[in-house]
Order: sequence, then C-alpha cells, then structure tokens
Amino acid sequence: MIKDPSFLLWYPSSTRRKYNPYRRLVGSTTLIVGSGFFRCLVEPEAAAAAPSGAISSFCFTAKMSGEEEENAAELKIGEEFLKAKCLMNCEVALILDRKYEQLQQMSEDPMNQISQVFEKSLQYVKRFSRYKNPDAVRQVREILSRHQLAEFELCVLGNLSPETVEEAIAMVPSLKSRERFHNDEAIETMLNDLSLIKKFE
Amino acid sequence: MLTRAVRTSQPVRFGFPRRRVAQRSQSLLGIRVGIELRFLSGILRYKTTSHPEDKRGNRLSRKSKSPEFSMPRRRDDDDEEEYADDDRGGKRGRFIDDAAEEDDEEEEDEDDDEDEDAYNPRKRKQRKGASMFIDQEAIVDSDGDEEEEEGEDDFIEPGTDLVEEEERHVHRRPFAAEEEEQEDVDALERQIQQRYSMRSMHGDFDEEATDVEQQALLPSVKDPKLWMVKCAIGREREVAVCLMQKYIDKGSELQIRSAIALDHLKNYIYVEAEKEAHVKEACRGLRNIFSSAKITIVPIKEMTEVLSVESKSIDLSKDAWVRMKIGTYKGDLAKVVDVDNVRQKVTVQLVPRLDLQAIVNKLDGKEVGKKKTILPPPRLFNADEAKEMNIRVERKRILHEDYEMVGTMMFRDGFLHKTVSTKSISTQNVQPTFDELEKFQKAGDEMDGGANALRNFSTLLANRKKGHFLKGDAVVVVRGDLKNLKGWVEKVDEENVHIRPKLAGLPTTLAVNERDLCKHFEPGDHVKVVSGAHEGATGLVLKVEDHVLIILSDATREDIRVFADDVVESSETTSGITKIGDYELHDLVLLNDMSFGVIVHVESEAFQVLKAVPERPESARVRLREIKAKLEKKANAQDRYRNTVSPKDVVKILEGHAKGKQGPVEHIYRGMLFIYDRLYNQNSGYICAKAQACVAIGGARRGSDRNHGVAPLTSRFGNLRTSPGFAQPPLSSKPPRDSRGRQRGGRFDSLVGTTVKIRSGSFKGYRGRVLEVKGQDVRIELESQMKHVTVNRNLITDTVSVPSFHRDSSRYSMGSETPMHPSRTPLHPYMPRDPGATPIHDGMRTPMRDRAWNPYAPMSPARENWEDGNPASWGTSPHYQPGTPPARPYEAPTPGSGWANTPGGNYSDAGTPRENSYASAPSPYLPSTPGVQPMTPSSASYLPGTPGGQPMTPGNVGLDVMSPIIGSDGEGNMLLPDILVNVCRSGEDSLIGVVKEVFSDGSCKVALGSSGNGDTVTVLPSEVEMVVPKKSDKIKIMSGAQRGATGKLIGIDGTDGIVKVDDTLDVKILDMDILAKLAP
Amino acid sequence: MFFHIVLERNMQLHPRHFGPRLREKLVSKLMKDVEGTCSGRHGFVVAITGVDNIGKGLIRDGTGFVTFPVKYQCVVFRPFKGEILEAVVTMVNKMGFFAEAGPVQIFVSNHLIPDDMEFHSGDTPSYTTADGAVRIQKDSEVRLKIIGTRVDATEIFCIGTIKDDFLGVIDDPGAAA
Repeated sequence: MIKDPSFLLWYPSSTRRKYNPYRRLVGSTTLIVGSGFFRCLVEPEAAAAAPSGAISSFCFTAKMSGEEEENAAELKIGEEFLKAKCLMNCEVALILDRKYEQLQQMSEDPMNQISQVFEKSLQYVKRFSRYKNPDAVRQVREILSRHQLAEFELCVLGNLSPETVEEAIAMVPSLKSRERFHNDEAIETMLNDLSLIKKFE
Repeated sequence: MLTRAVRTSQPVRFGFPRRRVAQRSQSLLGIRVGIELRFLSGILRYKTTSHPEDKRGNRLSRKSKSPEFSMPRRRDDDDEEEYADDDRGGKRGRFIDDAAEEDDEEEEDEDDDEDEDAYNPRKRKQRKGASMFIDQEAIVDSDGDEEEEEGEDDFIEPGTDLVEEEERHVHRRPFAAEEEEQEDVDALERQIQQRYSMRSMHGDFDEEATDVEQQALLPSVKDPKLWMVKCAIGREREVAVCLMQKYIDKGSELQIRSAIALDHLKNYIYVEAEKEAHVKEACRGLRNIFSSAKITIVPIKEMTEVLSVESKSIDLSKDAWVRMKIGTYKGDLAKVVDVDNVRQKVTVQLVPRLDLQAIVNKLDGKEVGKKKTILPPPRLFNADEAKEMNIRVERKRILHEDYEMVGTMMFRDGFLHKTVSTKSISTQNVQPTFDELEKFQKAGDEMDGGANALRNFSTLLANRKKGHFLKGDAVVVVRGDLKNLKGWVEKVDEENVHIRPKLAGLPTTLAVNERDLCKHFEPGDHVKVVSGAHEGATGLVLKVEDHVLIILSDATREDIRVFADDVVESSETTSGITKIGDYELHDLVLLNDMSFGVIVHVESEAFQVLKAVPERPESARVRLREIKAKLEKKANAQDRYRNTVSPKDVVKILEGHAKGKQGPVEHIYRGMLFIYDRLYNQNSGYICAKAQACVAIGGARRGSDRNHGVAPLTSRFGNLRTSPGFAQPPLSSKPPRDSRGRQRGGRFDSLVGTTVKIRSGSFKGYRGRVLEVKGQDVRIELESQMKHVTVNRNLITDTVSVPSFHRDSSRYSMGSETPMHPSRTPLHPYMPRDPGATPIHDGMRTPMRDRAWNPYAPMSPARENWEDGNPASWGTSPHYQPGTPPARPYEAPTPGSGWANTPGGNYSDAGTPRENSYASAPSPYLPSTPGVQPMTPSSASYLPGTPGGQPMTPGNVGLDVMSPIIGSDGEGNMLLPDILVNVCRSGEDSLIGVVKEVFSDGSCKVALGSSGNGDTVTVLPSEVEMVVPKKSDKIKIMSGAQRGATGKLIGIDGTDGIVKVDDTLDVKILDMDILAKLAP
Repeated sequence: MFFHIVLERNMQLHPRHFGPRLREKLVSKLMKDVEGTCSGRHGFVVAITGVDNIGKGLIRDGTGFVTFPVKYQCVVFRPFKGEILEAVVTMVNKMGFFAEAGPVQIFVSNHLIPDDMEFHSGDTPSYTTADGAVRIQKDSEVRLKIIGTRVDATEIFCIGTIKDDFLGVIDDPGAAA
C-alpha cells in the first residue's frame, strides 16, 4: 500500500546516485525492488497494483559501493551541491526573515501559511547566526571568498566561526587536504579577520 | 579442485602409529572433514570403516577415520610415500603410505626426486600385488596447511598429548603389534621430516590439480572392476576385514584388489577385482557372504560415486552450533561438545530448561498431575539453587571434566550436556542470534576470558550461508597477510571473493578466501538485518564493535546489537516486527471496548496503541485478541475552519497538549485525527487530536483554501459568492457526497450535509440537504425552494445525493444517458441552483483533488482501496456482496470517459443504511462496522482519484437512481426473509437454505434445504450468499425503493435482469446483483 | 547546510485558473506544493525565493490540465554525512539525545557521546560529566558531526556524534542560569 503516492514524484528516475536494482532482495519486503522498481513507481497504476505492504516506506539512498559515498569532510557532497550556492545561517536568516515579512503583509496569520520546515529553519538560523547585521554578513562572505574556499567550506567556517587554526581544520578537514593553505598562518589571518567583524558588528 | 587430501596408509599392522599424523591434523582442524575417496593417484583406495573399538579415536579425529584396505597395484609419479617405501625395501609387502600428503605436491616431488624415472607407472604396476595397504584418507580444507604441519610437529615429538596417546592405544588394540613397527616409525619420521622440510622451502602449495588431471585419474576399462557383493546385514565391516585377513593369509593367490564396506550402505560390500570369478573365489567360505549371493558389477562411471561421500552428511564437528529438532529443547541452540560417528550420537551443550519444582516432585515420587504445558525458560543450572530445593546434586568426574549430575542429567558450568542422536539435531543453516550466543558466552567468559569473541566469529563463519557476499559489499580481511585491509566485493567466485581494495597501490582486485573476509560497516551506514532475531529491521549503524554492530533501529529508535554478518547495507527503511496477525504498525484499530487508536509500537506479543484521547497522549498495551478490527476506511473530517481534512493533509494542532505540533494526518475516525509529527518523540510520533482543534495548513496542498473557512458558519450561498470562478467547473471529479457542511448541525450525524430526497408527505419528491438531525426529525433545506423543512427521518432517502452528483457531471453525461433516464429531466432545474454549494466546490479544495491533478498519482488511492478490498467489510454486508462486485468500478475508470458512467444506485444506496444506523458518527465512512457499506468509502476515496472521469460504474442501477424505485432505507444492506441463500461456513460445503429471519446486526436465521425444511441455523452475514436467480425464477428485489418486492425474472441481459414486479406488474430492468432468488 | 539552488518542476494547472493571474496562480500553487517537502536528493525545501522561468504549457490529453515546466530558486536544507553543524537539543533520554538543526532531527546515541558523560535521569534528564562542568540537557546547544543519514519519504533523519575534537556543548543553559 502506498502511503503517499504523491511523493513518488520526488524521486525522478535519474537520481544522482544510481540505484543498483539487484541489490538486496534478500528477505526484503520490497518485493518490487528490481529492475522495474522505478518504472513501477512512476507508473502509478503498477505501483497501486502492488500488493499491500510491498512498497511501504522506503528511500533511495542506496549508495554505490565505496568511494562515491557521501562525506562532507572530504567535500564529497555530490556535484550538484558542490556547485550550488551555499548559504550561511546568517544569510538564510536574512532571506527567511524577508520572506516571513512578506507573508505577514499578505495574511494576518502567517504562521498558518508557512510550513513547519520553514518555521523550524527560521528559528534555527536565528539562533545560530553569528552575525546579525546584513553588512557584517556581506563582509564575512567577502573575507572568506578570498581564500579559494569551496562554497561548502566557506559556509561551515562562517557558521561555526572556529577560533583556532586547529579548530578550523577539525571543522573543515578538507582545508588541509588541498594545498590552498600553505601554512597555518593564512588560516589564522582569515580567522582573525572574521573575529574582527564579529567584534565590530 | 575442492579439497586436498590428507592421506595416510596403514601397513598390514594395523596398530601402526603413523596414522596419528593424519588424525592429529584432522582433529586440530576441528572443522569439516569429509571422507572422499578418489582415484587420486591411480590407486583405487577402498576403505572399510574403522572397527567399533575405534570409536574413541574416531571421536577425536572426527569422521576422517576409515582405514582402508587397499592393494596398490600401480603407483603414481607423485606418490612419494610409496617410493619411499621402495627405498626401504617395501617388497616384502610392507609398504608405507602414511602421513599427510597433498596431491598437489607433485611438482616439488618431481624436482626433488632423482629416482623419478624408476617409478614410471608401468614399473609400479608390476609390483602391484606385493603390497597391501590400509589406507586412511581424509579430506581437509585447503586452508589446512598450517594445521597439517602442526600435526607434523606433534608427530616429531610424540607422546606429548595424553589423549593422543590414549587414542593410539585404542587404535592398536585390534591389531597385533609387530617388532618392525618401531623401525617403521623411525623410517617414516625421517621421510616425513624430509618431505615437510622440502615443502616449507616451497612456499606455495596452492596449485591444485586441474579438472583435466582429475579426469585422467578416473578409472578406465583397463582398471579392475568394482563388484558389489551382498552380505549379511550389519556384517559389512566384518566381511571386509575378513577379506583382508584372507588376503594376508593367502597373499597374491587372492586376486582381488581391495574390499570396502561403506557405513551408509547396508547389506553390501564392494570388492575390486579384474574378474567376477576372482571375487567369487575371494568370497568363498566367508561366513557372512552367502554362496548364492549375487555379484553385480558397478559400471565404470559409477565407480567414483561409490566412494565419494558427500561431506555434508558428516558435517559435524566440535564447537559447531546446531539446533535441536525435537523435545523440550526444540529450536534451541546447542553447541556440539562431542561427536560419536559410530553410534551416530552427539553430545551437545544446552542452556537447560529446567523446572526444578517438577524435578523435586518427581524425586519425591509425587505424581505429576498434569502434563507439562509450559516450557520452562532457558536458564543456566545452578547447583546451589538445586540443593536448596533438596535436589541431590552429585559431582562426577568424567574424562577430566567435572560434571554435576542431577539424576541422569549432566551439567557443567551451568550448561546441560546431553547426548542425542545426530538425527535429532539440525546442522544446516544454524544462525545463532546474538542473544543466544551471548548466553553461551557469558558462562564461557568466566571460564576462559575474552578469547571467546574470536571463537564465536570462527564458528559463525562455519555457519555462514552460501552466497554470503554480494557484489558491492564492503568487507574487511580478518586473517592472513592482508588483515585489516578494507575493500569492496567485486565478484564472488565459489569460495574466493574478488575484492577491490580500498588502499591505493594494490592491484585492482584481489582474490581472498571467503573465510578470511568479514563484512564491514562504518558508523552511519544504513543497514538491514537479514537474519537472526532482528531479521527485517533496518537502522543506522551507531557503533562497530569488532563483528558486532550496534544499530539504531528505524522503527523503534532503540539500539539493537547484531552481527555484521547478519546485516546488509540497504536503503530500505522498515522496522523489525511490524505486524502481528492482521494488524500492522501504524494501523488504526478498533478495540473490543469500542475505543480505537493507532498502533504505535509492535512488541512480540502485544501492541502499544495510542488511544483516541485528545486530552493527553494515552497509550495502552493491547494484546492481539483485544483488537476487534482494523479501521481502514478513508474518512474525512472538518477542521476548526470547516476545511475538509483528509488523510495525508497537513494540519496544525491549535489547542490541547500538543498545541503547535503539526504533521500529516494519518488516520481520521469519528472526528479524531491521528497526526504524525516526525519531530514528536513519543508514540512513534503520533498525536491524537480532535479535528476541530486543528487547522489544515499547507505543507503541500493547502493554504489558500483557508479563505473559505474564514467565516465558518457562512452558508454555502456565501461560499458560492466568494468563489464564483469555481461555480461551474466543466469537469467534476469530486466526492459525490462531500462532507461539507456536514457538521453544521448541533450534533454530528453522518446524514448531515448529505442530499436526501423526501419520500412521502407534503414535500414528497423534493430533494434537499440535511441541515440537522434531531432525533427522528431531520431538518432539510430544500433545493428548489430555498426553504427549510422538517420531516421524519423515515420519510427520507439520501440516494438523491447521487442525482445531485449527476447533475454536476451531467453536462458530459447526459447524451448517452438520456434515453434511459426519462426521469432525469426534472432534476435539471436544480442544477443552477447551487453549483457552488455542491461538492464540486469542495472538490477543488480537497487534497484528493490535488492528487487528481497529479498525473502520477491519481489512480493510486482509488486502486488501493479496491485492491486491498477489505474482505471483512465486504463480508459484513451480505446484501451488497453480490450487488457490488469489486470489479465493476474498474470498468470505466478511464479519465475523461466519465460521461459513460452513471453513478450507480449501489453507491447511493450504499451510503444510506449506514448513515442511518450510525447516525452519531460525524463521518459516513465508518469502516469495518457491521452494516457498513463497503461501497461507500470508495465513493469518497475513489472518486477524487479519477481526474475528470466519472468513476462510477456504467451501472444500470444508475437508472434506478432517477426513478422512484430507489430510495432504500436503513435496512438496505440486510438480507430479506424468504430468499434462497447459500450458507458457506468455513470448513463446510455450502448449503442451500432459506432466510427465515434477519436480525438487526445483519446475521440471519436460515432454514437449510431448498424449501427450508431442514435445520435452522443462525449465520453471519459473511457466511451467506444470495442465490443468483435464473430466468423465470421468482425473485425478490433486495435494494432500491422496491426492496422487498417480489417478481419474476423474465429475462437476463448481461448484468441486468428484466423483472416483472408482482404487485404493479411493471417491467423493470434491474441489476442482477440486487435480485435474489425467492424460495419456492 | 543551507543551499540556494534552482529546481524544476512540472506544474499542472486546471484551465479555470487561466487568465491574467495565471503566473500568480502557478507560483502560489508551487509554493503550496513544494515548500516544506523533503527529498533525499535535495533535502528540505525551506522557501521558494523566486521563479526563474515558466515554460510553455502543454495540454494533457484527456484531462484538459495544462502542464507548465517551472524553474524556481529555493532555499533548501540538506544534511550531509560528515558535516559539522550546530543544533539544539530537544530531548534527552538514556539512549542518547535528539537535537534539531532546522528541519532535521539528529539523534546522538549514547555510544557516540563521550564516555565521561553519564546519563542522569530526573526532571531534566541530562548527560553530564563527572565534575558537572559540561551538561547536555534539553535546549542545550551542541556542535555535532553527522555520521549517517536516512532519507524517507517525508524526512531526513540523521545520527550524529559529539565524540570528537571540538564537538559538544557550545552553550549550557544550565550553567548560565
């Protein structure tokens, strides 16, 4: 029985991670897992005709063996996200705040309009924004952008504001792996700059 | 090649100690050892099994021990021991073929032996008659190299092992020792030493004979034949030994080559000889072979099979895990502590299941009154405890081990040691669970500390299933040079697994023996347990402790501990046990006390049910039998602002303990919503709330609808005005009887909000919407007159809701239907009246509708409903059982073809009876209640699923909708007296009977026999089935306005019956399904 | 981590919405449909920030519905394995504690809490070091590392660890009080 047919749409058959259809049929309740799995899902009739319980809840995070595994510490976050624009919490806070205001203007009770995800996210980014001032946020990004950081790395640093070089490397292990920072001093300068912004915010 | 042989031969002097080498090595291996006789070196080694006296030795060496009596007639180039014999002058008939040997040593041997030429096959053949062997052959697994060498070491320093010494004596016993023995030993020692030293210089023994080489060793026509000789049962071994003795006595006179008795073959022995006459000659005079015994030849092709033994038949070794098959301990895990192959007995170690009280009673001589019904739980034996209960515990020392004896039961370290037949244990697919092993380990730890983990692991390996590794598995090497190397399985090739190492700089793939590998997981992996107690559970790996994983179960969010080997990586999310009986996790169930709730947790024998108490989260432990039924019907409810809430809508709770929580609605029943909030940690995230305490919001599909709800009590005319744009959607696929306004009345009544028709009185024929139900009175807003009237409840029928639905769709459907529906026309005037008020409008807002837009989803909810077909509720409404074959609605679910489908009278009828009988329910869609109409939910969930289509059947019943015929009332789904039914009770043949009386709960009294003169029985509605009338039969109309009327079936047209009604003499076309044959 | 990405979706619209406000209709439906959803691939869609492009509509046979390919920008939250982030503790029990980072729930098992922190039940269950200096209870802010994610139809669930350098409590409400 498919509990929520509409979610089928959320999984286009060309997901980033390939799904090996023959993997794991052992003792599994997803009898339909097989080469016809996706086909079956995108054809609602077939999916609906599936015996009850055959498809219950499942997900498609099946990963390929080995290296393709996701690991943010090694910047393995998938092509799509590696290229995408990453947002620091403080930036998200600005965006969501603005959107919330808009909604407020449109409706008296915006809380009923927004999704729980929105609400939770807004609470979260407000709580964990290191910088509140939009100018400061801009400056943070600017400073970090000088250092050939990947978007993801940049945002982790911006979010967590490590105080020491050691901490920075622990938070973003990929800093060390590539040879962008010849020495720790470069990192230290960067961290100092960030803390200055915070100080003068 | 599968295995390598460790082969030993025995000189005539059977007590020859050399045998120990092989035995030792085998017992050291402690693992599967099979007997397999092969034509390895061109010598057909026939074997007799060891003498009964041998059994102690046997025990130690496991099944490997079968002295063979064979007569080498031809030697192989590689048969090193044999030429070693020759060196020592083995012509006298002494010869040695002893000590472990590997057939794949061939090459080294050749290299080393300068005399090789001297041993060409022919030459050897000439010498053949001179020797005689007792051949002992055993197979060990190819990884046995070290062990063999260990055995060798042992041999070099003899006598260090008491047991072995013992064993040696045992073996000697049956045979007379001779003086030369010691000499033999020394010679052999030297020889073996030499060989092994050579071997150690050559590191690689892994070259194995190819298939072709093996083929070459098979017997051919030139070889002696194998004859099967019948002998006395149970004397097989004796006969073989007799033949051997005879050979010893007579020497080459006896022209047989070998004799063999097989343990598993009763009544026969095999003799190898060139001619049948030779066999006869040899057998002559033997007491246990009858002179008349027939001697048959074994075809060449089958010769090898005679002496191949399937290794699994004797796949039992010490420390192996087995399961008991019978008795008190049935299914329990046991550990083999001793194997007696001869007597086919196994001593196993078990966690005892003792009922001390019962023992006390027994010892006291009291009669044990009742048979033991309860299986005592497994618990380690505690001598002190037993003593306290005055049970005598004796201490006994058997074979250097201390045992505690209670009666005949032997205990050691709290475990029961039990000797059972090999037949009563199962050795295949024993998959000890973590818990079981832990039990064993606990006691074990006290004994020998931490060394257990590894042992467990190795025993687990032995229990591993075939095909354990699959491509893509992450594995780690656990033994050998590559230990700790991680990689991924690329290919599995029998026992070898090709892995792609993680480490750079290594070859792309490495072949590793399966046994050296273990699955490997990292914390954070999502896995599924594929065997053991937690089978089926999935979760995230929290921690890896050697071969044990701690997993956070997806379902329970609790830790479970499993073996890495029992787990596969999987993306699937399920929970362990999620189902008992028909009830599954997250099902909405009706309990016996008529309360209901959602199953939030499934335990092994009970459920945790979150009860429908909106004030506080109240969950109860409920056993299977306390659950009455599963509530599967889709229902709707209205939120605070009168928005229709359907399952899957996201709502937010506005008041109560869970205020502020939100999530999708999973179940709706009697105005209660069960909301799943994934962020809520209790009750699997389920929250129960009153529908009115919630507001639908739009994670996915709501939101703007709320406008409609702003003025909750606005009349629908108000609604009409607010959304003129929606007034006349050309396609309408929304619930025909929408629940809009249903709760407008002071009390909840499923009737409220439905469109009904007044059957009699001054407003007869008018239709209107029910505003309120007050006792027997119903306040109706007439559609044609903008007027509220109050009529008696019994004077209305709500089937008209379908016409109103019709009306909406009629734009499309008229064409084809008109000719058949003369009565339809009058309905049209209503049309323009309240289009906005009709369900159309709501249809737009319902989430179902949203789904209807979704091209991928539309069918699903509907189909689901049908596919799953709730047998229970079908059963409860016998009347409709025949009347509404589930297939029908499928006939035209095609989108866009709605015009062809007329809403069936069934559907409309369907709603009615229930609504009457469950007037107090806010929703008409009550599932699983007696009398509930199975069709009804379909109209709710099915309809919206079909975009633009009229999902209704092209049912002719539809005709009736318009005609006054319809208008059934409360009893709609009941049987009627006097009709013929088939009573089908489970386990009995169906019997014909006549319904005599129908009770309010749907059950009825049926008089058996076609004329009703048999016994009278009371049957449940689900057990009866109406008899389908044939042409010219007298019938009774079971539903519609003319329910109860009798008539004659004057013709059948497909699913339609042409009926001449008795009273009016009208001819009607009615669905066959609503016609029942009348008792004559 | 939050991302700003461009996604595409085929929107189906009923013809009755056609008119001058077609675009508006589409956008509001898009928001309704997409915001708050979650997929394993893109994570949670937090908010739509703009619509880049609405393609040509295609009338679907049989239904009259029109499909518009819509490209839109949105803020998504997608947790990654190995990612370090800050979160608020929402519940503490003997199995570990749950924390929230935006829409994502993260469970930190007691196996992944430093061994020197012990569970203390009571009114406010907590994990506390022996000296009481560090305390994790409801509403504590912790920095943790995600070590595993599980995606199902409607959510992403993570497990995290604080058993590593520079991880653990960043703000202790108990101490502050």
